[in-house]
Amino acid sequence: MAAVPRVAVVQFPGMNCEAETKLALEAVGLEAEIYRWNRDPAGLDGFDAMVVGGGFSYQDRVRSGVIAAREPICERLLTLAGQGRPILGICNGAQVLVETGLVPGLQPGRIEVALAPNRMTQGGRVVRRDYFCTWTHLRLVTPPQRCVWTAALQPAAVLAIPMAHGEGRFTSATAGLFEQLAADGQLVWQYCDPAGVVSEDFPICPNGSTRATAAVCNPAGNVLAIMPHPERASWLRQVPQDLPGPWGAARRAAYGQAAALAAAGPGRGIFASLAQSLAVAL
Amino acid sequence: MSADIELTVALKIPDVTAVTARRTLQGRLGYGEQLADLRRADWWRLTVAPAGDAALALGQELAERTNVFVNPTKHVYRCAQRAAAPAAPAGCTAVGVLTGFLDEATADLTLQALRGRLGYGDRVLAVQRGTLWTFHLRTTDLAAARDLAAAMTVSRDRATGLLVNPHSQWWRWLDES
Repeated sequence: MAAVPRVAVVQFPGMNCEAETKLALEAVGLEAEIYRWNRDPAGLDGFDAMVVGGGFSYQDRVRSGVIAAREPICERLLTLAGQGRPILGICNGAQVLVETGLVPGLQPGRIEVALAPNRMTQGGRVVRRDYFCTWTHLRLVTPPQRCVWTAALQPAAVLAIPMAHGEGRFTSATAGLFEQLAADGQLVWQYCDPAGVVSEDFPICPNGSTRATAAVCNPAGNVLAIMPHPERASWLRQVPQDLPGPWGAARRAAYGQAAALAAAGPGRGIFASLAQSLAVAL
Repeated sequence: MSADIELTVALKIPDVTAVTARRTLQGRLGYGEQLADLRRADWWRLTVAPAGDAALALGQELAERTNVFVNPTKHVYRCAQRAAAPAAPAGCTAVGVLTGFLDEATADLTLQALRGRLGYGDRVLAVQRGTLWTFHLRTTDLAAARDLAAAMTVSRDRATGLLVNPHSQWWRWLDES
């Protein structure tokens, strides 16, 4: 392994977030390389971690993430995940990990949940559906040390992170699965209001996800599938000025100050958690 | 009196989603020998108030005049009481599979638009929506063809099945619909 941990940003055709994901990883001191899907899958062995970024792999044909999940490189991700290598899937990357059977990964390779088309509800009534794009707040609902990708965060941390997807509603035909995931600490992030109060109702939960789930990890905690985009919130300057809550207040306070705007944004902690975990491991 | 009409709508140009699905099934999931072709169409079932020939006439009107189901520039459609049984080239068996999303809401929105904004009122009673996949399989044994089509349809792990994630989607045979 290299002295500076190396992270592969896996890119499938149609993905479009690889550049900012690479920057977000480099901002926490990691070396990042965009790794296209048609390179030798064995080449991933030389990396300390992998991120599958957002976008529209294969134009979302058939359903989001499923065609990419059948590529040989995902077989390698399954193998490396089993060896404990950290893997993060963001948005379309999360859909790829779900369709690969890496998340929730109770039986690795088995497809145990779906990221279904959004169906937003209020009081049980459907009020909106399909693609939606907004800033959300997420609450960390598992102990930070439970997952590699949250290890540097404070318990019950609340982050402001944008989401942009049409198929992000975690659901399963297996009764009680999400209750089991919550009990086992695999339900990592839930949608909440700026004060950290979790709700399944729109607009706090922007997609109708079961138990307001925004991110799920595997049993070992080294693989995380998250629907919102932490790489789009890695610098304070990326936070909108009118955002409610402390992150919006921090952004307003930094108005006109270049140095302050270059400070870490709310999503930075997810990548910093990886950097911290790799530093300990190496 | 009411009647069901089935509308199948397909692209005139090559359907890249169907091509991608076919190539993935053949190249990644090991069905290169068995799968000759895979085709896709939008499937709608419209429950309308008039019966008989009047129902078919209304279905045709909905297809051609509402701009909801068919864009004549890029689509071909077929309107009948039942979607046609798929035909296959010699040496193959054709199997039709209908798929759709559980909690699918587009059909309800379409019904609201037809009954309200487009003025069809009580003449349109219900709308169902799905995707019709037609497999051309290199076997003349229907039971074997169905087994293959079912295996290719349902994603249980990353090595089997492609078209339906059973946690969010349904599927059934076209002739059982």
